[in-house]
Amino acid sequence: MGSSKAKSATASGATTRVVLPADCRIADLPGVKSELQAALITPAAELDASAVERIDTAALQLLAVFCREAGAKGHTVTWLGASTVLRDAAALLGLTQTLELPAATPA
Amino acid sequence: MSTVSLAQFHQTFFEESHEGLDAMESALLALDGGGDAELVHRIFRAAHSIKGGAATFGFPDMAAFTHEAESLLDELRDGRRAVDAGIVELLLRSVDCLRGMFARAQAGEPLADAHSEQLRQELAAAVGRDAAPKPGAAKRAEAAGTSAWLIRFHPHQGMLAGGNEPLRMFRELAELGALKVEPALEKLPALASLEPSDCHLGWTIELRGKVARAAIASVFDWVEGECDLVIEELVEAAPEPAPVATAPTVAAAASAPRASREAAAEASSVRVGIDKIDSLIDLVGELVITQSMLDTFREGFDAQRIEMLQHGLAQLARHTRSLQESVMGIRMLPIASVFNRFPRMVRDLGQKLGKQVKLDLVGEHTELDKTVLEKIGDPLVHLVRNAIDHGLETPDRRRAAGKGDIGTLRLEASHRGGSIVVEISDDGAGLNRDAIVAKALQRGLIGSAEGMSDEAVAELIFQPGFSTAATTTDLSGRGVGMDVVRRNVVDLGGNVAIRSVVGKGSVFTITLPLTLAIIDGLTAVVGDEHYIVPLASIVESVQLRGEALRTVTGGGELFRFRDGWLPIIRLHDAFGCASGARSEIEQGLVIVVEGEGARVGLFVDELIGQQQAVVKSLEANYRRVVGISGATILADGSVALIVDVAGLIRQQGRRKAA
Repeated sequence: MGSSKAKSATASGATTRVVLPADCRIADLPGVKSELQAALITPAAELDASAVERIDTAALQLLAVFCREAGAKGHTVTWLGASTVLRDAAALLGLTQTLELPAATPA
Repeated sequence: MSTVSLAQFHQTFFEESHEGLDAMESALLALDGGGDAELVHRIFRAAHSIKGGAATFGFPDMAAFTHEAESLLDELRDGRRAVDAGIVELLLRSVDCLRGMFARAQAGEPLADAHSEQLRQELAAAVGRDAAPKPGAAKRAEAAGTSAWLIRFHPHQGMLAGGNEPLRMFRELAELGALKVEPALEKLPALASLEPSDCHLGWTIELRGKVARAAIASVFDWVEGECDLVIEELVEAAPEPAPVATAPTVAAAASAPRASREAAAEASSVRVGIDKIDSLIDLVGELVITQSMLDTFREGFDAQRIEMLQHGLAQLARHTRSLQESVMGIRMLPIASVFNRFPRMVRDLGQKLGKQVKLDLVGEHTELDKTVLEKIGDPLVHLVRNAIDHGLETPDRRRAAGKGDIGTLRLEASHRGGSIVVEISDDGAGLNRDAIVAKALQRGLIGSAEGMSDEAVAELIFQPGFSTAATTTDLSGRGVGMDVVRRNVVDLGGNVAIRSVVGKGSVFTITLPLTLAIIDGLTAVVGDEHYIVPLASIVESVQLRGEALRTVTGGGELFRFRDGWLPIIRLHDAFGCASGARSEIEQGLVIVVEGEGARVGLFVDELIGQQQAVVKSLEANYRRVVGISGATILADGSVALIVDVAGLIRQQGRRKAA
């Protein structure tokens, strides 16, 4: 898990990686949003949500906005990992498809 | 969910809801006479809080019922439906029904009954949603739980920021049945312009399982007003029989549970405005300052500081007095809480009797002691009922008398001296002297009306068992008459009087003491005893000279007062405390008092002065004594009895008659 609340977007060439914090809820979203905005600049983005322990609707909405916009630009979004918490929440809100969450959790 | 007992909040919820229902009722009545959007909002808000509270505090039947009413109100609010008399009537009956539910809740009985269920279905039927669920279907669905619901849930932008989490709600929904969630993404903005705490998502949810509408609605209780919510039954069943139109038959049943509950489950708390509490705290602060100032005299006292001491004591007296007034003020509530029931009553009665009545309420903010307030309701209801039943005429009779079609009934409360005066006046036919006299003769109350003044005739209606209604309507003929009204008012230390002019109307005047807990009185000495005579009943006190006195056969004594003669009651005789009392009338004083509409002179040795007496119940501490209304403790620690003037006059009358 690690303390992933700090600066965690890392751009390497054409891909930007965004690591979502363990507590991914409304209060922490402004930071996540700016990282996602940065990730929109590069043609490919990697999202790492394996550390997410808590998540709320606002966060899922933010991710949905991001994924939709990236898709509209023809960018690729890859999930490096998605915790069960995030998957369950996304499923409950009917956002699994929008977020293009993969069926199983990669390591 | 934790298992904190919510029962401790029930009383508060009941009280607030009663206020809410009152507000709903008065707004509905105002709406009836042509309303505006704000009124609908007010009604909606009241219904909404009741619904939320009911769901929170575990009254699902009430929540389900209110939910239907609220849906109907929502349509009014959105302008999807125009306000008409039928809807107002339906909602008024719902208010009654909710009152019944609250009464049952307070008594710990099951909330829903056949009547509430029927009314709930009527409400549901009246909610004309695009494909309004047929009442038959709704009924079946509610009873057994339907198999499929469609929920359209569109949070307002600020809902997430308010701490309401759709995830939690969806989890609760998932516990009810199988969910199919379809998000609405159309409103999502671009990432750059997204404020993460705003909500732009919406959902359409399909819920399958045996679930009652109320159970679904309760999931969204906390976000009502923060979202657009539509819960529809997914109708897959065969069509049901035609919907029931608004059924007028329930109207009679609606009022039935109301009357019986009044006395039961009475709340024994007072809700106090924060301003009153603040003023109390201020005063206590002042008192503490004064106390510490006086405390400095403990260290040592010399004659030079006497002025300061006097100043301190005066301040103490002033603050104590203010504190007393403020504390008494806590028990004072505006009479509006009693007046508020009248618009509805007047409207219903007027309709029932085919009379047009305009009700004027004046001085609703006049404050009265809570105890007095609780007990004055029934007499007032009776007087208002009488005024509409007997006083005001039907429109054609009014026209024949050269008056407008609409009769006016006026309720006015005001402070007058140390009393509260409530006047119930109508511009109806006035008292019918001939009918009263005929009735009184028939009942043997009088031998002949020869030489009786109009006032004396009017007084007859306060006699037990008196009613002049030609036909017994369901309003009169209940076996409760004006005598009970007077008795109730007199028991409160007040009085009822009537003025009436034939063809012009009648005015009933009820005079009530401000409070029952403290009275202003004059301390009188009789022999070795002290008595307090309530200031409110004192006309004046006089020292008599021999020529003003007459003794009549039978031992009665009279004295000349202004233009008439009044009987004298010797207090030492009445209370049996002759030891040391003066027996010569010229040596003592006569206090002229008024009670029960009569004046008498009370003979006492001397008067000490005026003081406030904190009334202690004699009944609670000893037993009831005729002619004594209570006791108080004097500054020297001795007990003084408080004279019950009306009781004394009654007793004296009986003694004379015997």
